[in-house]
Amino acid sequence: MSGPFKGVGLASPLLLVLLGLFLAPVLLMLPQSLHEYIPGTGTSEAWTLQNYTRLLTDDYYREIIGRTLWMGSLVTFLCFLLGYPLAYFMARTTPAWRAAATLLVIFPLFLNLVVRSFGWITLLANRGVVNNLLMDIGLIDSPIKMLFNMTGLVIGLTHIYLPFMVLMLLTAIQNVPRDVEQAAATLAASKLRIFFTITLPLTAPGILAGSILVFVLTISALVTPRLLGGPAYKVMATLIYDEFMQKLDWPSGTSFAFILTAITLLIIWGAGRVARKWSGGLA
Amino acid sequence: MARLELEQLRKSYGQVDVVDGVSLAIEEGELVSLLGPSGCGKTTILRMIAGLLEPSGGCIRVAGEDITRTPVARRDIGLVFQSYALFPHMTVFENVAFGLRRRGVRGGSLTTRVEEALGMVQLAHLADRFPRQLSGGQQQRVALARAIAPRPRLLLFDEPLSNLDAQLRDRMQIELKQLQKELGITSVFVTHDQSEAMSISDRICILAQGRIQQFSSPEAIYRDPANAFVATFIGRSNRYAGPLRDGSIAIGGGLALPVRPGEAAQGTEVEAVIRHEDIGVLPAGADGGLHGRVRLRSFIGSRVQYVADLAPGVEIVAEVDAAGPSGGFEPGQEVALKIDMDRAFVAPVAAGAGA
Repeated sequence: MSGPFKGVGLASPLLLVLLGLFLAPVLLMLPQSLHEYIPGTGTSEAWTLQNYTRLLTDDYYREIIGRTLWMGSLVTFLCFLLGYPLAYFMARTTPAWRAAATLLVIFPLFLNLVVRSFGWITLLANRGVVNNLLMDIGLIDSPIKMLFNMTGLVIGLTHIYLPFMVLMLLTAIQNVPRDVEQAAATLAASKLRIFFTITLPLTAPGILAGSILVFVLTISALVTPRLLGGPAYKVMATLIYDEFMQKLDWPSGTSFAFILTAITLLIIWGAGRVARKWSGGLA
Repeated sequence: MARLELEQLRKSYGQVDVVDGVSLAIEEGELVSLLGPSGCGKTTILRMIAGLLEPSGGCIRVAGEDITRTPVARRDIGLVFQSYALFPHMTVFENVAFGLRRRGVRGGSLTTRVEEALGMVQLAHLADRFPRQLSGGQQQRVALARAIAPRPRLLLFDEPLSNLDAQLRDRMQIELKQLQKELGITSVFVTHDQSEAMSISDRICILAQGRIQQFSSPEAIYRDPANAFVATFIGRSNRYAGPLRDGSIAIGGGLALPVRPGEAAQGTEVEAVIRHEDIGVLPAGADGGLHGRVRLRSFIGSRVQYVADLAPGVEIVAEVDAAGPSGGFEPGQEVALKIDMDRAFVAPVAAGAGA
């Protein structure tokens, strides 16, 4: 290999596509976020940072940012907690069981997102399936509020993003060499200790990748939060949508979008550092 | 440190017996190799001793104590894997400390014992590195240090040197044997490499098809093979079969090899296994030799190997000292081949066929 056909040269066709179709439009929006929005007429000519400062200082917006990050963390953590045992089972069971389990994990992805979210509404509503059942058997007197709040969002989003976590973890667990675990056993480590000192750290790259994927998908999800959160219980994605489509306040929407992106990148970078330290540089 | 006994050890997968009734006793501090072609069951036996595989039958005893159903973690063994199986997310120090910590060694004595184990394999200066920063040979040393650090009753080696290059392997063989003698830990060493088994073992157990073929010292196995399988498997040999007539084996092409009286009954099919180095190559016409013509000559350092035709379709391979008088024959030259039949292994074909 020589001349232009190496390094950046080889990556350049893809690089051009990404630059032209992804990065450029995003950057084109940057000036938009630096103007003031004047209702009825559009944007002012003057440059200002007030769209950014408003979002970071106003309690209303700060609550939404906090809520979004909290929701992302909860969903990621729940997906990990539910996904790891399942992925572990799939990695260590017979090929026939693995095939069956993989099908079950992937199957929900074939269903439309809106349909699945509506499904949760019928389950979680005040007069929905779950509440009616609990009241019929006398466990509760009045319905538990599970819709248009954090509970509903977390349940719905965990259900939707669990398959991504499981598939990432499955690959990671399958890549743990069995003789490394066996070596630990010959050195007098119990099964539980082998899991926590060998298997879990060795799957750190998969845990990291799965967590980042689920976290990013969750905080940028629009359809599910809109349906399960309703118009009033907002997160960043629905807020940005409303700024653009309802209020036609493009400068605010753009600046909110940039802040969401910045937070996301920061968290990915931080998570990578933590995971690398924990796994002895493997992740 | 303890005596290891296997009694009628068996492992079957469905109808197939991978290990078929293996009984042997390894003395305290002894290093025994399990040697055999792939599929002979040697690794299976090792994994059963380690507790990573459950035997289908039989019994494993260490120092008189039955450990056949004891979980791996409580067997007090050290196992060195072919793949090294180091913990990639831990430093060399932590790798070696792992087994010591599980046995409750802490603080200053932990550091001392890890450093001692690393010192034994000359790696004390690399304690802070991660396995991926080490060469293959260094990784194998770490694996060795990790296995010996807790001073187990039993050391098990699963082809530990087969991933190293030849020169390093020779060095490691010597070091490994030295270390094992120093520590005096009873050891079982699995290998498919006969010269490796010869050079490091106190005794060698030769296996084929899940059964013991011979269990004795390297010298005895080399000089006095128990059956045709061992005779062919150890060393490099010519193998001739034919009916026994008038005290000689007819090997085709009108040639006959005289055998010692009493080796087999008249008229039976017998087999002669003759090592390459038990054949002398002399100038043509020399006394008591078979007439032949050199077809190939290969120079292999201190030795020269000749492939010669005795008769159409009957060839013989001989290996002689390169520096000696027989080292200089060229292809096409007529020679006399003098076979030392006293050293040959001769047995009726049926007896050796079980191997």
